[in-house]
Amino acid sequence: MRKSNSIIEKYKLGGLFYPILAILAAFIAGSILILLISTKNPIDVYSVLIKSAFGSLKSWDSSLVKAIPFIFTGLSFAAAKRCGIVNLGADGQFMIGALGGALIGIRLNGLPIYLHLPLTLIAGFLFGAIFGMIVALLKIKFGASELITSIMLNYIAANIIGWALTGPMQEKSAVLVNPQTELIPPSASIGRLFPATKFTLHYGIFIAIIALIFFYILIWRSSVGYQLRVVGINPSAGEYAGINKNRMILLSMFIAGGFAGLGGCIEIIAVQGRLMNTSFSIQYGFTGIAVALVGNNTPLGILLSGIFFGGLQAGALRMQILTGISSSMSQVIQAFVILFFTGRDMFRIKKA
Amino acid sequence: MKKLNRIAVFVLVVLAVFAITSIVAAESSEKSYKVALINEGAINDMSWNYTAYLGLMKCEELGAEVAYVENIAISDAADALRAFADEGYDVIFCSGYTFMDSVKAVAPDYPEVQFFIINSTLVMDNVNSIRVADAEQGFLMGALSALMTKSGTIGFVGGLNITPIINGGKGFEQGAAYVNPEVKTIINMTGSGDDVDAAKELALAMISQGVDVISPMADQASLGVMQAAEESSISAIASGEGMQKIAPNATIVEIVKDTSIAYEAAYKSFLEGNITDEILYMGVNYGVIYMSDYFADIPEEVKAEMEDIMAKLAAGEIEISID
Repeated sequence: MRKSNSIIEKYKLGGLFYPILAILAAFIAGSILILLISTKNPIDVYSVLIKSAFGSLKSWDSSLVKAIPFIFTGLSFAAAKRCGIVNLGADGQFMIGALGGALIGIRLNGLPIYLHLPLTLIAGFLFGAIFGMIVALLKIKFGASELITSIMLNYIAANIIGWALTGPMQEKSAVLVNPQTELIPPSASIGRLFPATKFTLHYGIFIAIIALIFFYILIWRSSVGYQLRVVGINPSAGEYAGINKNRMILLSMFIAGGFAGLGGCIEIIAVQGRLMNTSFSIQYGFTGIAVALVGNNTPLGILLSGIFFGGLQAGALRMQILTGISSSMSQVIQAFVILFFTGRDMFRIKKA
Repeated sequence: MKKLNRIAVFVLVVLAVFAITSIVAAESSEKSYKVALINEGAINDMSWNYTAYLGLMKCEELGAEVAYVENIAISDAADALRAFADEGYDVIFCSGYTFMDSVKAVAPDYPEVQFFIINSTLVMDNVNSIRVADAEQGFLMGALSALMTKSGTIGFVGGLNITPIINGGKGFEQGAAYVNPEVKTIINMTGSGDDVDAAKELALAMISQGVDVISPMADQASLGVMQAAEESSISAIASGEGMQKIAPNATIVEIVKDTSIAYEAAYKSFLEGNITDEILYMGVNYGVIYMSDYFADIPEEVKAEMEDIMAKLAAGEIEISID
């Protein structure tokens, strides 16, 4: 990155400034599109979007529920990025984690909840972690670029899901044959915080927060995390200092895959209730990349940007219902955020 | 070609947005029912979701105030249902079985709202399910294929391995056997409703096995089958309105499963207040399944035979076994 002397850095606003600028720029670019394709006033559309995302307790509730998977996939990208690996495979790891959770959740039905639920969560984590480690192994053994392998593994994951849902894990008892599993039994499900109300927030939010804290302690407060970061910043320096680079790559992909897998597992056992062929129509993994980028790969940043993207997802629905602007518009805004954020150098103000 | 498709899709989306906004703008003063549609896919798929959208438009012609959302993920379904119910919608249609769990959870909170789910088995106080007689569509395809084949081998490409399409395949087999027990039927599923390339590959493989009349029943992926037929210069029977445009030379006829009529019929029964607690089965009898005009030169006796089969299906004189 080139050295610059922006005013922003002088006033030490760097952390928040670029994400917010990128978001504002994205909204402005989006408003041009809204003006082009509809007769709506962009300000009305955005006020509906923002009100639906964060305007009431109920909308906060939906936004937080939507934020949980994004926090996990964001953590997945960040955990790998801290070791210099670009993990584009969180989508696949998310799916395989969901599969692992569904498998243990359904097949071990009958266990008491204090045994069953932890096992299900561990299965979600491990399935995702092992799937993530494939990327690391291919990189270590064959020098294969993780940019390619992690993306390609997403398709493999999608096909594994397709096979499982039309084969070994397909619902047996149903009148209609559909590509879906049985319902996850209560002993493997995560409950809601406020069960008898219309609020859908579930205990998974605490698991997400624990994961964020775990990520912080691991990366910034442990010697393993230090080694991991050194490899991420400069692999040769790390090796020179006696750090086993390959072990760090394996570890970071294990954790990255595990985070994504846990997110997928929680999405299935807390929100969707069963694994279906349409369970992953939101691209959780790719949104996670945006979450991590905007959150600057830090725990607090991922939490905030996760909630922001969760809000966009939740608000988009009501925006579509109330204004007739397609919910795809919020995806366009997401894409603009990424574009403007990764292209942030153009906002830097040069000194003459 | 792909790029062109994308542009076409974009233009469609833009037009759709225009259409909606103009609809919203044209408010009527008299009290009308509000009808919403929740789509699992995009309304421009020229198939399942498209006919669902047309169904909503038919409800509008009946005086309803309408709105829809598309590409709704399962995790958004409950929110979408609640959002419409909270906005005071009287009737909410769900375009597929995937919404069953969500409707089951949400419906009791909104006893004043009538929910309809297509291709489901859920029936509650305020929830009804509509099932389309997919087997009849397959039956017509199989019968016409068997009448038209020269090689004696006909093919059916299914999408997802789900009840409607499985039944379609069973109907196809029985339809072919009904007119000519000698004909060999090849039935394959791609396992996907949107993988156009997989459907095309599968169709090409079947064509290389001698199939000379092919029928898709694979939602959006059907387009791949039509392309394969066009490129291999064999005949195809389209499963959705407008598909003939993809394969102008190959298409014999479109045998359409027009769920829009199912939506219209369901809405009418809501207006008349005669909703029972039984699942609504709709096929040729309701006009949900019908044949377009022929696009190719067809012998008169084939036309007559097909008309006869249509009449018998409508009268319930042909029993298709789907067990």
